[in-house]
Amino acid sequence: MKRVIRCLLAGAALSITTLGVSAADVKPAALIIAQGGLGDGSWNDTANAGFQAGLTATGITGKAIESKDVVAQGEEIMRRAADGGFGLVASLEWIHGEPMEKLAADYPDVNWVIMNQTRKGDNVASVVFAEHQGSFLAGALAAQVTVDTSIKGINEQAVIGVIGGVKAPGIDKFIVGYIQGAKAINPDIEVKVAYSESFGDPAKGEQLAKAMFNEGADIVYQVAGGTGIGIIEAAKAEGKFAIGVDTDQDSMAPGNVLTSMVKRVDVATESIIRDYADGKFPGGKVLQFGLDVKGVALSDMNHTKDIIPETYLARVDALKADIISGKIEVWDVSASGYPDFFK
Amino acid sequence: MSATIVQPRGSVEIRIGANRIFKSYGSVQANRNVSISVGPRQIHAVVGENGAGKSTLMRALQGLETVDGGEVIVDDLPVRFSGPQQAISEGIGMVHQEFMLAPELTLLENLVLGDEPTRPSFGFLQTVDWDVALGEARQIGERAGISIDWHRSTSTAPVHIQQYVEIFRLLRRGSDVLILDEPTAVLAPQQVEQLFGLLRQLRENGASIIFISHKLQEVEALADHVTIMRKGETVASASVDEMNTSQMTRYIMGENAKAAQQTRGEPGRPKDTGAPLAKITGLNAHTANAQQPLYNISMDVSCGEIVGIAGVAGNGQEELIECLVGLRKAQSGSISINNAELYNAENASFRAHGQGYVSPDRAHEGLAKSATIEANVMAGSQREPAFLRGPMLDRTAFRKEARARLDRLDVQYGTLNDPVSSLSGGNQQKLVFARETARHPKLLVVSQPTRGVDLNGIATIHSYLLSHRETGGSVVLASEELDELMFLCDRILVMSMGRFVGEVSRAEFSPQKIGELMLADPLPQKAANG
Amino acid sequence: MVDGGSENVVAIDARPPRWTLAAENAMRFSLPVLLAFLAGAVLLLAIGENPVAIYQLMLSEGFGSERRIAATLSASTPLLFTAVATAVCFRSGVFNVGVDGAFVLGGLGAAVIGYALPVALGWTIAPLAIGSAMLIAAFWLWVPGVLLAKLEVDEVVSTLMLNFVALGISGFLVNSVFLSETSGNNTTETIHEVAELSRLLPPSTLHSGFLLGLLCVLGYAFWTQRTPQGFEAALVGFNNRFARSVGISVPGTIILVMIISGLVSGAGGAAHALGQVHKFSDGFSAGYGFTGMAIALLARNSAIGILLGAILFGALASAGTTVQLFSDIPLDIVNVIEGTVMIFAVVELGRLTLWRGTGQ
Repeated sequence: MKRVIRCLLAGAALSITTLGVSAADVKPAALIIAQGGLGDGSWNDTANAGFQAGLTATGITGKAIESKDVVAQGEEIMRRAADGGFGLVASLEWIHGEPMEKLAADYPDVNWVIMNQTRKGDNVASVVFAEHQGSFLAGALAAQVTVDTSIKGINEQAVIGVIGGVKAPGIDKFIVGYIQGAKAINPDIEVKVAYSESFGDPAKGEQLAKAMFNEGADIVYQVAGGTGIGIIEAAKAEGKFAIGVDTDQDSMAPGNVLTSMVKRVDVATESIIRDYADGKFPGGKVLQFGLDVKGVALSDMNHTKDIIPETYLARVDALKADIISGKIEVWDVSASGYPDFFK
Repeated sequence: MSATIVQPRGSVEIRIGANRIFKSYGSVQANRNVSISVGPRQIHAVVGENGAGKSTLMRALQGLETVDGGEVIVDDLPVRFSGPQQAISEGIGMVHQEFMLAPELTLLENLVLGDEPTRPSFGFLQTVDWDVALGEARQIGERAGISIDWHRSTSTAPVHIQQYVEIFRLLRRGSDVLILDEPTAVLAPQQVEQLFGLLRQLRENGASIIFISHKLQEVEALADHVTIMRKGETVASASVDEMNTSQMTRYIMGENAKAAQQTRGEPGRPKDTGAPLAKITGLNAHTANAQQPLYNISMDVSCGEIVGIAGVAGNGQEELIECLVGLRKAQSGSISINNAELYNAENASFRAHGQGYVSPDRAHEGLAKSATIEANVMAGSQREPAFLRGPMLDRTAFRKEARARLDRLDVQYGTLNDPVSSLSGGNQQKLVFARETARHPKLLVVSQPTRGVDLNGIATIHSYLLSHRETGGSVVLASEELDELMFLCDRILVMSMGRFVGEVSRAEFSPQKIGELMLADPLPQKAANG
Repeated sequence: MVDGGSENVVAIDARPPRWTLAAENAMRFSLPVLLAFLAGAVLLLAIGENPVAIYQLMLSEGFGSERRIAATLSASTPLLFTAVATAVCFRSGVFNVGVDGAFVLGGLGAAVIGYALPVALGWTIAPLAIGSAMLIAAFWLWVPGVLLAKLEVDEVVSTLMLNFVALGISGFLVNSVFLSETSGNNTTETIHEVAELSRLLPPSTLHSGFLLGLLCVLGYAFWTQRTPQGFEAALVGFNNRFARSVGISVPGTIILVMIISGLVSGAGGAAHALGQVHKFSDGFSAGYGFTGMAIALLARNSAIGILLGAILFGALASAGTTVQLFSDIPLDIVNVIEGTVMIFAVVELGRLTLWRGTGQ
C-alpha cells in the first residue's frame, strides 16, 4: 500500500515538475476564483481574462482554480498551491485575506496577491482600486447632467443622490469621491446621501431611490451591491437615472443607467503577472489601481453616450487628466479618514 | 339463449396447459415439474396452500414469467410467450383478487377501456362511440342475466358488480380462458351462487375456466376437475367426481393432514362477570376518508366470548374495527374497555387497557414487511421496563423475548435478523398473533385473521382464539370467511351499509340466514344495484 | 397491485446467507461510485485526457500524504453532520431536505455569539455558541416537523422552501445587522480566537469539529441501534401505518427526528463557523445539506456508510479542486462525478443486482 501511495506521489511530483519548467523559467502562478465561479460575466471572468492575458504575454504557466466550496476550502487550496511549487498565488475571494496573511508567513518564498483589502507581509501584494477617483468622475458627470432639462427625465434642480450599503469607510470612500466630483462642477449642488443598511435588499434600494427621486434628485449613484439592483429598477420605473458600480451595469436598464464606475480587475491581474514575470513582484506593497492605469474608469456608456452632450464628456476627460497629473487630489477616506465636508 | 358471450376457438383437447414446468427464484424452487391441462368447456380448480406455487403457475400461463424448463401449452401446442400481450391475444385473461378497474371511471368506461368502439368524426378523427359501447354492454349483461347500471362510477359500485365488469371486460376482448383468483372471497353466499351460475353458463358456451380457491366445498360444487399443488409440485389431478374434500385435504396438507382436524368444544361461557368487558354505544363515524360511514353502532363484548362481525366486504366492518382500536376518529359515541372511556383515544391507550389488534391488512399494517422478524415481533414493546437498561434497549432481553414469543405460536423462522417477508403467509400471521398476544390482552380485536394463511396456520390461529376464549378472554372477530365465523363465534353481528342489521346466536347459525342479513338493505327506499 | 411475489418466498432455508447481505450493502454503496468514476473516465477520454493518470492524481491529491488526508477530512467535516441530520429523518420516512438551511442558520448564530460575547468568557464561548446554534437549528426544523405531524403539510415542499427563507434571512442579517464594519461585503466579524475550535493537524485546517462530527455519527449509530426511540423511528420509516397500529406515536416520532436533525445540523453549522471559517459569510454552506442528502441515500442511512460517504465526497471536494493545479481538467469533471454518484445512489442500483433474479 505504502509503495502504491509513493508511486502516486511520484506521479504527482512528476507532473508538478513538468509544470514548473516554464518558458520563462518562472514558477507557475495560480489564481483562485471567488464565489460565483467562472462564467459569472463579472468579477471572476474579468479577473481571469487579465490573468490569462498576462500568462500569454509572459509565457508563464498558470492555473485558474475553481471550487464549489471556496469559502471554507480557501486555506487548504492556497496551501496546496504553495506546497505544489507555485510561485504566485492570487485569490479573488475576499474572505481569503485572513488566511493568506498567515500562509504568507509560512511560505516566504511564494508571492501572494489579495484584492480589495490590505494585508501584511513582505511577500503579499494588496490590490486596491482607487474607487474614489472613479466616483469623482461619476459625480462630475452627474452634476453636469442634472441641470440639463433637454435630457428626458431631468429636472432643473441641482440635486443628485447616492445610496451606500452601510456607513463604513470602505463605502464612504466612494461617496466622498462622488460628492467631491459633483462639487468640482457646481459647488452649490445638493448631494443626498442614504444608507440601505444592507447589501442584499433590492426592495429597500428601490424604496430609498424612489424617495430621492421624489425629493428632486434625478440621478442616484448606487454603492450598495445587491441592494443596488433595486436602485436601478427604480430609475427604470421612474424614468430617471442610476449610476452603476464595480462592473458595467449599463445594460441592466439600458438608457436609465447613466454610466457605471467600473473596477478593472483584469488590468490589475495582468499587470501583476507581468511584474511577477519580470522579477519585480510588488511584495509588501499596496497597489492602488487608479485612473492613471485604467484600474478604475467610467463605462463606455453604450446606451447613454448619444443623449449626453459631447461637452460634458470632454469636461469629465479633462478632470480625469487633472487627477492623473496630480493637479486634482481626490479625498481617500480609507487612507485619510473623513474630510470636513463629509463627517 | 340465442347468442353466446364467449368466442370459443375451434375444437382442441387442451385449450391451455403446462407441461413439466420448472421455475425457481434464486434458491426457491417455486414450480417443480408442474403439469396441468385444461380443456374447453371445463372448470378446472387449482388448489393448494399459500406458497404451493399456484401464483407462479398462473403467471407462467399469462406470459408474465419465463419458465426455466418445460412448456406452456395453448391449443394442444407448446408456445413460448414473448410477454403478457401474446397471452392476451391467445384469449387468456385473469380476474385478480384486487380488480384492475380504474375506480374513478364509470363501469362502462372500464368495460371498454383500451378497446373502445369508435366512429369517425369531422371526417378524420376517431371518437369513442358511447352508444355502441352501451349497446354492447347491455347485450353482455342481458346474456349473462345480470342488470348493471353502466353509468355508475366504479368506486361506488358493489364489489360483486365490479367483479362482473372485470369478467365481461375479458370476454369482450375475446378471452375464452379465464383465470379467477379466489373470486368468492369478497362475496356473500347468495352472490357466490350467482357467480357460479355465470361461470357454468360460460362453460356451456365453451370457455375454459381456471378457478383458484381454498374453499373445497366450492371446488366440489363448481369444478369439473381439480389439480392440487403442494410445495411447488402437482401432487394430484383428478375429476372432481373421483375425489372428495377430505381426500383433497390430504393431498393439500401432505403428512400434516391430521393437524388440520379441528373441533370446537361447546363449553359454557366462563363465569359471566356481569359488566361487559367492552361497551360501544351510539358510535357514528363519517370522516372524509371513510369509504363506508358508520351509523349508530352499539355492541357489548363480555368476558369469554367471541363476537363475530359479518358483512359483504366494504360495508363498514373495516371502519368499525379501526374505531375499536384507536386508528380512526369517530364523530360521536362512546367506547369503553373495563369501564375506561377510550372514545377517540390513540391506539396506545387501547393497548394500555388490555387490547390486542390483528390487522386485516397484514402486508401494510400488520407487519413492516422489509423490517426484521425481531423488529416485527417486538414492535410496541420497546418501552417496557423489562427490555430497558436505563434509557437503552437491553438487546439481550429483547432478543430473548422475541424468540420466546415466536416459539409460543410455533412460528417457523430462520434467524431473527431475516426480513419478515421471508416467512410464509401463515408464519407471518402467527408472528402477528405472537406479538399481539404477548402482553396477555383481555380483548383481542381480530380482523381477517386467516386471509392468505395456509391450513396449518389456520388451525394454529383458530385453536389459539378458542383457548383465549376459554381462559376468559374476549375476541371481536371480523371475517369475510363465513365458515370461520360460524366455527369460532358465540354470536355474529351482521353489518350492512355501516349499520348493524341483525344478530345471530350460535344456535341459529346458517349461511342462508347470515347471508340474507348481509344483503339486507337498511334503507328500503333506495333500490339496490344489481 | 397484486402481491404475486409473496407466495414464492416460502422456503425458510432459502434465505440468503448473511454474507450476501453484507456484500449487497457494500455493492449498493460502491456500484454508484464505480459507475460515476466510469462516467467521469468517458468524459475525460472525450476531452483528450488520460483517465488513469487523472484518477491517480486525484487519489494522491485526496489521500497521498498526511496533509492531503487532513484536507480531505477537513472537507468532509460538515458533511458528517449534514449526512447524519438527513439520515435521521430519511430513516423515518421523513423527507427533510431542509438541513442546509438549518446548517446555515446555526452557523450564523454560532459566529455571532463567537464574536459578540465578551472575550473574557474564554473557553466557555465555544460551547455556548454550539449550544445556541443547535437550539436555533432545532427550532428551525421543528416548525416543518409540526406542520407535517399535525397538519400533514408536505415536508419536502416546506423544508425546501425554508432553505430559501434561511438563506434570505442569513443573507440579510450578514449584510446588515451583523455586517462587519472592518471588512467588505457579506461577512460578520471574525470570532474571538478563544472561541475557535482547535486544529488537529496544523497547519491543516482539520479542526476538532471533525471529532464532533464523528461523535454525531457514533451517537447516530447508538441511537438507531440501542434506544427505544431509535427503534420506533425505524418502524415509522419502515411502515408508518404499522407503527401507528402497534401504539407508536407517529406525529411524536416525526417531530422528534426533525428536532434531532436540527440539533445535528446546528452543531455542524457551529463547527464550521468556529473551526473552519471563523466567521459567517455569504457562501457559508457550499450546499453541504444537499451533499449530505446524497451521502445519506448512498449510505442507505447506515452510520458506517455515512462515514465512508462523507470521506468520499470530502475527497472529491478537496482533490477535485487541487487537481486543477496540476492538470488541465476543469472542475466540471468532478461535478459530473459527484452528480452521477448522486443519481445512481438515488436509483438504488443495488436492487437490480443479478443474483436476486426477480424484480421483487
